[in-house]
Amino acid sequence: MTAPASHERVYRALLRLYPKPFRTRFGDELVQLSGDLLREARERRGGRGDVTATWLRLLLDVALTAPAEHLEQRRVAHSLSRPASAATKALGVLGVGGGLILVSAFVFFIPGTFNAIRLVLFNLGAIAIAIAVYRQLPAPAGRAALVLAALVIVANAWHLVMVIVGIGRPQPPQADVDFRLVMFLAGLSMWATDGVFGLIVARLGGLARLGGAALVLGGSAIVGMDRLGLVHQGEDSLASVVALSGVALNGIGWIVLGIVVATRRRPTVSGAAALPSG
Amino acid sequence: MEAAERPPATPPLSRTAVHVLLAIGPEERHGYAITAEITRITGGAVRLGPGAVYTTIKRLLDDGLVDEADDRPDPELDDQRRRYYRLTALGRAVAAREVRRFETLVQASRPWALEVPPT
Repeated sequence: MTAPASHERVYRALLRLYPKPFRTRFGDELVQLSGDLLREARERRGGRGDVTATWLRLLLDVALTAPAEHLEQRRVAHSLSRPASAATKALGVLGVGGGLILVSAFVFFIPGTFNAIRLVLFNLGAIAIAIAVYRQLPAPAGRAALVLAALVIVANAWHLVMVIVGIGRPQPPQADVDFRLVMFLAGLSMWATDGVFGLIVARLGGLARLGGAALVLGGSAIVGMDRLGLVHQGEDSLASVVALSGVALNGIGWIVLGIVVATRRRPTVSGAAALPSG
Repeated sequence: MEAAERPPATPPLSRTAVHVLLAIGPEERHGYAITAEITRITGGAVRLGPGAVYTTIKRLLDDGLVDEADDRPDPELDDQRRRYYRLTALGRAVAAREVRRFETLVQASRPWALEVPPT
């Protein structure tokens, strides 16, 4: 087998600018045609000037047609898909609301009982998104999503119940020796499962990767700093800042995921095979 | 012989798509032959690059106007990696429609357009 000519190596590198399905289907022919055009230019009497002009034309051709082909792929994918169902959209909107309410604590001061209600709404939003993500992820990731979604739902539901129980108690959870441990464990499992859940939602691709990364980073920060005892009550330390940033990141992650699941289009049965992957 | 199909009432093809359809014509042609034929029939005014040729061929394949020929020429005479394309019955009908469109355009414009002295 002979090594590819230098023009072929350069042109193959340029082909990476085209969408992968197009490259796979026509890559070899594009390389062959570019080689033919360069050979023709070398054989003309113009010599190096002709070859340079042909290279410039090849570069301009790639610069014009590669973006157009990306747009075409998007147009085809869009035409072969339909919007998320009304139920999934509603779950996404609920999730965005939950995330916004969690993040709102960093904008407004929310006192006592209202702070607990904030956590209730946040839990409901996270549960809604876990259900929506499970509905959207294909197998086999769907099965893993089912397990993780179930864990997220259980952990958030547990935390939600503890928050509601805490509202009716005479003293705050941190002062209640009996209640403190169960509340701590509910919080630990919630933030930890949120973080792990971030790994699987990245499978949805695109913007979901950002939402998933926010959940992973946010969950890790909260569990690492706050839940494992590096943050002490009333102490203004770097660990406290990191833990609070983790809470904010977690909220942002759920907002992003809510937007993703509410706006994500699903392939039609007949068009599923034609949709570009990734 | 394939039966001629009536072309669907679709908007006119892009100029590049028409060039590729007319360059393939009644033959089976590979990419380089198509670009060379386009250069020839346009008097050198149009020189398409590989990206323009194959993004257009892809659309024509997807629309059923062109298909890939199964037969390969003698391996002694040509590179076996080349793929050859030909017009489908629908592609021929669309090409005929485009040629008629040009004819109408030319007939309507000729009386005045060719009176203008060249500058």
